[in-house]
Amino acid sequence: MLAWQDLITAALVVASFCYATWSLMPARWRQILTGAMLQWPLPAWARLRLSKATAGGACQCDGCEQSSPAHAAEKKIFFMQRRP
Amino acid sequence: MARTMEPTFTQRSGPFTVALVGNPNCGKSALFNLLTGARQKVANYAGVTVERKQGEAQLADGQRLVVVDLPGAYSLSPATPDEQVMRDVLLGERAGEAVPDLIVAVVDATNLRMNLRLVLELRGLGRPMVVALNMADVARANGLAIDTARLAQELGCPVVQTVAVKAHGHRDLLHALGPFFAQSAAHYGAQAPQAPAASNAADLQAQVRRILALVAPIAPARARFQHRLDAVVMHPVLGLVVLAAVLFLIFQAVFSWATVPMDLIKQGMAAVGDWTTQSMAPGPLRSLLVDGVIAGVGGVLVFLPQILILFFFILLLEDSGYLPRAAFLLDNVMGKVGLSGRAFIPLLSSFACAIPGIMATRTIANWRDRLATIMVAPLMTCSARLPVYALLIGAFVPERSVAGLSLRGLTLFGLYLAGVVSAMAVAYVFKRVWMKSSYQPLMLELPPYRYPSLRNLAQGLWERALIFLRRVGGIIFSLMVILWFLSTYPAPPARWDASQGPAIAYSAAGILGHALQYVFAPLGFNWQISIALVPGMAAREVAVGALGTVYSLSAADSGVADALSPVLAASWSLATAYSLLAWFVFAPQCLSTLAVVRRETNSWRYPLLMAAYLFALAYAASWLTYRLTLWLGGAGG
Repeated sequence: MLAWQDLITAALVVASFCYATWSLMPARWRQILTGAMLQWPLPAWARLRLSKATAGGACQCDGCEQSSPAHAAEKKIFFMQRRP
Repeated sequence: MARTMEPTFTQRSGPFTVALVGNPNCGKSALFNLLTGARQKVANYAGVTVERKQGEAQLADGQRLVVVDLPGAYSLSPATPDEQVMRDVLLGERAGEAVPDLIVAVVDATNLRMNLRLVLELRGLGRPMVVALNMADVARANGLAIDTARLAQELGCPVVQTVAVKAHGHRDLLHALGPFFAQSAAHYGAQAPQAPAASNAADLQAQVRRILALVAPIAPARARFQHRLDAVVMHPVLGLVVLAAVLFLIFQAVFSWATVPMDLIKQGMAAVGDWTTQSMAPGPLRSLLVDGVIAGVGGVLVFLPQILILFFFILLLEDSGYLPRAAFLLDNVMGKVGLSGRAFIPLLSSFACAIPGIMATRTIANWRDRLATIMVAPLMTCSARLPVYALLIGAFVPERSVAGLSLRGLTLFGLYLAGVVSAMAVAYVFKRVWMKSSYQPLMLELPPYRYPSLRNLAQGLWERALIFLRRVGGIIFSLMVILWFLSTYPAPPARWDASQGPAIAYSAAGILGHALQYVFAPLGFNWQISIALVPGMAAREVAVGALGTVYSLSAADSGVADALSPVLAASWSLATAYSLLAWFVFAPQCLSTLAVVRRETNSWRYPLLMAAYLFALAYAASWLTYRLTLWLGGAGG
């Protein structure tokens, strides 16, 4: 029988593997994967999170999250709004 | 010659779009940040924004606006790819993007003579327009009195004074935008812009002179202090001495100022490691936390103070207006190796990260010059290399002074210099052999010197800290967990004991490391280094965390989780350490950079070529360094 340490460790390893794969995969693959996953009956918050995650990704350094110049017009960037 | 622009009314849906347009370095991005609450990078030099950015603002009546920040341009006739972005958006020639409903022409109030030319061209588009007279406070301080009412009359559109960096005037600007949209929320003009008539620069300048004579007849002389400063800073000999002194100071500070906060983080990580070891029963989770997370992730986190000190100086130089002068100073050097003087700013951006540097090459008009700059950008020492350099310097370079300067700081300066010299040498070869083009003279607008804005500085440092922490908590954490797993399993056989070697040797990572050692042994790399280089492909600083995890799992006690430096100093030769430093000066270890090169060049040819030449250079440089150090007697250690 697995001890609780084994279970938590396994969960952490699997989650880390999924995160690293998602972050490092080419943006186009990520978009295709997201498109397929959005077909599933997911709750609204999960759909929103998934849509946002598609735009980001990569290794989160300067500029990694910049949209492609070819798609700059199609990808909208929304920021926190400051009231006047 | 006043003209008014009345909007036409057609059916439309969605929020109105406002485009911020203006000359480079007139404060568009600062105004954009102010209107939308965004945190776009701003700096005191031209060419910071190379792509359109979008955010949301709200009028006093609650109506929402989409605000688009466009790259700076001097004219509607584009000379560079970033200027083309501005023109395409304004003329509705960008795929999937509607023509902006209104143009906010951002004007540097201290330099109307240059800025008004573009405003006059924009007026020719026949679109509704508001002029934001930015940096109005500096203009006033310089003794420049601008008759805004008369200027509005001459331009035929409202003129509002703003001071974007001090958060002044944006409410007035939003107030001025209101009437354009208030007439009907559902019906508003979206007529096609008129194609800009071929403008004669001399005619435009004559119009500018006429308007200036009316609205700002007394032009103040430029501050004498600035002239005196430029005489030193841009002197062909003294200027280079000043530049070298500034860079020296930065690298000294990176080591000397960071000691206390780094020690505090180290002590904190050690305390967390000890506490975890004492409070948990032995098992895989404890090993993961102590050997994987604390030794790996903690080992990278320690370098946060050094990265922030480096960026403190970079932001300070950006905001002061010194950087374009350094570009001017180095134009001669850049020209000799065949690079455009405009390559300086992209190469300088690459000190933070090669990705924004490669994107900033869009300001270079000539394709061959641009390609050459892209190809050498990864040779500039990005901040991800700093943890690797700092770790190895801390372990192998003694803490002593040479002529009053820290030897460690000097070594770091040497490594940065090695990156720059290599980039110049590679550019020289590329431009002579492959990407031949004639010398493109540098034309750069020199901004006035300004006191750095504390707000920009604090915001910039905060952003850098967040980026670093997100990397540590995201990709670095996940790779460390995976590496721990691969370094722990398969477990050693049941009859294994410590005398047969470390347990990690039986793991997947251990087997991979021993296999890779055949490739890297000529460079003096052991199997632990060979393992660390693999996850380092995702991000260079991961190599530091990986070394922490691998050595922690190789050691009998948990001391490695507390301090990696002494362990490396005891197990590596000096030749190995220098060889690894040489490897990291050239190594193509950043997948994201290669992906961005593919995107910017629209071809796999160039990133593959880049990876191949960087790998070959890294291997050759490491081999030479290793052999040379051994020959000089650097085997001990």
